[in-house]
Amino acid sequence: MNDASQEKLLKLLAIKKLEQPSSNYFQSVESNFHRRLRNRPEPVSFWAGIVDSILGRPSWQYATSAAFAMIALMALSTTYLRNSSGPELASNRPEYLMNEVENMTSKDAETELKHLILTANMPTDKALQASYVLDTIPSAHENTLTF
Amino acid sequence: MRTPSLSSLTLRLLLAPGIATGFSFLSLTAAEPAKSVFDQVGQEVSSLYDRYKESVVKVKSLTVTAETGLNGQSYEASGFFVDTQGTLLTTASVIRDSDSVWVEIDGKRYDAKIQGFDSRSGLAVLKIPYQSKPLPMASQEKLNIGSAVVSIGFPYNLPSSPTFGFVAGFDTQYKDSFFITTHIRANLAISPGQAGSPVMTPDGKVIGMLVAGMDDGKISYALPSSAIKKIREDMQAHNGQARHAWVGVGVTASSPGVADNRTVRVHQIYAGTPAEKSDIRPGDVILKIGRFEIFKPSDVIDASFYARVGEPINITVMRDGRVVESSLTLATRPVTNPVVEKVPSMMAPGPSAPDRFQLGNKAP
Repeated sequence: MNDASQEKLLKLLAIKKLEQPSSNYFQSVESNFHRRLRNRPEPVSFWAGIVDSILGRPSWQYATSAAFAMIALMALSTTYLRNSSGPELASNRPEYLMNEVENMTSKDAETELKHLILTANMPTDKALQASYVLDTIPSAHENTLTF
Repeated sequence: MRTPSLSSLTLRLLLAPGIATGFSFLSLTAAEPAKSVFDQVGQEVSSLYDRYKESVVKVKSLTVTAETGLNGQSYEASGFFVDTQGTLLTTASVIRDSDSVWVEIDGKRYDAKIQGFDSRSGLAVLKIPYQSKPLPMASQEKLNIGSAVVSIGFPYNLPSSPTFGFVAGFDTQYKDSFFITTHIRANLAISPGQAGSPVMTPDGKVIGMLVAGMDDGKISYALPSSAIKKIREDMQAHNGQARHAWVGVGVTASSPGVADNRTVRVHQIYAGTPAEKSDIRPGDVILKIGRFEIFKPSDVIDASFYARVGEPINITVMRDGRVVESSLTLATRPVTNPVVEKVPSMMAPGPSAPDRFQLGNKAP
């Protein structure tokens, strides 16, 4: 993809983000959804039919569930063992996060911490910043007078 | 002694309560202190705002470049409706090279079509699919210095608000820069985001559109309604483009003046222009352009601005004590004319970044 195409795609994506549906979209969205479900049944492929016929049996369902439960238990125990092997070095955490955590005293500290972690890697310079327009002189002027 | 008749008594009985009520009303009115002039002004402005606030809208645009990334850079200004079909006027500075332009009304987005754009005058005409309430336009010619004016606009990301002030002047020049036409200077206190707001008389007639603010927003400049009318007519005739007339003459002030103290002297003739083909020469003193008498350099500005491309025009000059008249046909002013300079706009970011806020510090 060349630079021109990339820039065009970038513009389209940016504009698409700010699109709004028409005013009557939400009034009919549910009925449209149900209508589509009724009119267009989900096609089932050949292989999906075979897998369904095998896994659809009760005995296979029990076996599959048991296998998933075993895998989940193993994963949990491994994670617990690794975390309990010793305290995490404070120096491994970003300093700004540590300062924030230490200052937390409210019961909502956990919620705040989650929010902090979620936003910690967000580049602040990419936030949409509005500029409010007011020229400091009428938009065109001339330093010499011509006509 | 004469006995009053029944009809006379009935009349007296009917009138008595009315007269009593009238006296009590008069006494109450007399007791109530008269409203101050400030209260009256406040009431007038409030009434005007209530009547016309729906006609003023927020205009937004989005520009996406490699520097802005996917989020883009958005610009916000004000605009106002001029018909019932959703046509509105706003500042060209909010449009610029944007990739998307829309109008926001009660939080809802209406994608706008750009019907006209003229960076030279700073006027843009947009249209949205909306049944709008227009503001009536009127000529600014009846205004005087000191005439009261009101503007409604959207400062920053705040709701719309009215601003009251007075006409402070009719200027063709700010510091060392000449405007393209006479602008209305008003001492309306305005903030970023209010460019494109209507400037109205106290009876709600639009006499201009705010295009610039300087000196920390204490002085504002409005493009007058007659200039708006001329540009809109151009746009309608030329597929959304404004065509500015061009003779191809550079002028300067001469001192002392000649012939009734006329001070505008031809300084330069541009190559390939109507002036080059005419009898105008450097050093000529300009007496008249079309119907406009020329006494000082600022007189040239309006004479040039209101002239129409393709129309013939007579230019009268004085050379060596004799009057010389030239007739020529006006050409289109070149967009890339080096003497027309695009002024950088003051783009103040929102309240979330107060440290980057600048106001009025980029004027030349």
